Amino acid sequence: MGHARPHVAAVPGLWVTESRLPGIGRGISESVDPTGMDPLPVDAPESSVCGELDLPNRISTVRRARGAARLLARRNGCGPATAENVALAVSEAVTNAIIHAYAEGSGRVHMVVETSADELVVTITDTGGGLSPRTDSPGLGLGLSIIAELTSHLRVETPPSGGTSLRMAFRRV
Amino acid sequence: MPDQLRIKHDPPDQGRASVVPRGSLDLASSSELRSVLFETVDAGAEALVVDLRQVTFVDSAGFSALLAASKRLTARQGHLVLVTTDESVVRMLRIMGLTEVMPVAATSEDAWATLARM
Repeated sequence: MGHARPHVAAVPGLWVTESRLPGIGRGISESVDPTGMDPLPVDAPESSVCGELDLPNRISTVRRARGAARLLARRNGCGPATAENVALAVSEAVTNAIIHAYAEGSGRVHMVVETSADELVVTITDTGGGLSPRTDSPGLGLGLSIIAELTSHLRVETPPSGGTSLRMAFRRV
Repeated sequence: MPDQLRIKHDPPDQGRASVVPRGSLDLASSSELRSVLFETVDAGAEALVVDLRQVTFVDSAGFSALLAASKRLTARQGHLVLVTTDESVVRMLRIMGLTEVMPVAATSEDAWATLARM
């Protein structure tokens, strides 16, 4: 096997696995490595996690998560324009988590980045109080509208255990 | 840090003022931009150009500062025009329904010309 290897990323707190085959997940036609490396196993997962980040509920988290998402998008087959869309959507999602989920107190913001056949999927999860409106919100309340415009699929989940999970998919090409 | 917000601005001259932020505009920096814009409006600016051409990133939290300044200006019969050639900024204005509220010009000269017609 060994089609993926650990990679120490430049972003603190981030772990990344980079595909040995640049075309991993892009479809059957690209699943054989032209350089003669091992072909992908036939039971390769439909999606694979390429990065994960767990950050505190702080304003600086917005920039860190955005930068990591942009980096991972570029490393996983997204062009500059798509990578900027990913960065903007992550910025909006993490801002939402910080403003709405954790109006006060501590908490964590978790980001997982996965690749599937033709998409990059970013999931932002918090354990806070949900997307409740705030009269003193420093934002415009338009974060979700912007995310919806930038993504090919968007799923918002609010599990009974609390918190909110935003699963955002972007076409890589 | 290249992403760090820097804002170039001067006091209004005969009701005209320009503000030039550089860096990223998000939750971390929007309050700083808002303060500078409010200060400029309160110092008598009626025609305000905000040049975004050196802004490397802007999200809705960044736009909230611009919208707040625009509302403050409108209350005083003033106007704000943005300078940008970035398609993504124009697209965000459209998504947020702010294209009428915050007109966009490609150069500062065009922005002043737009303000002169308002």
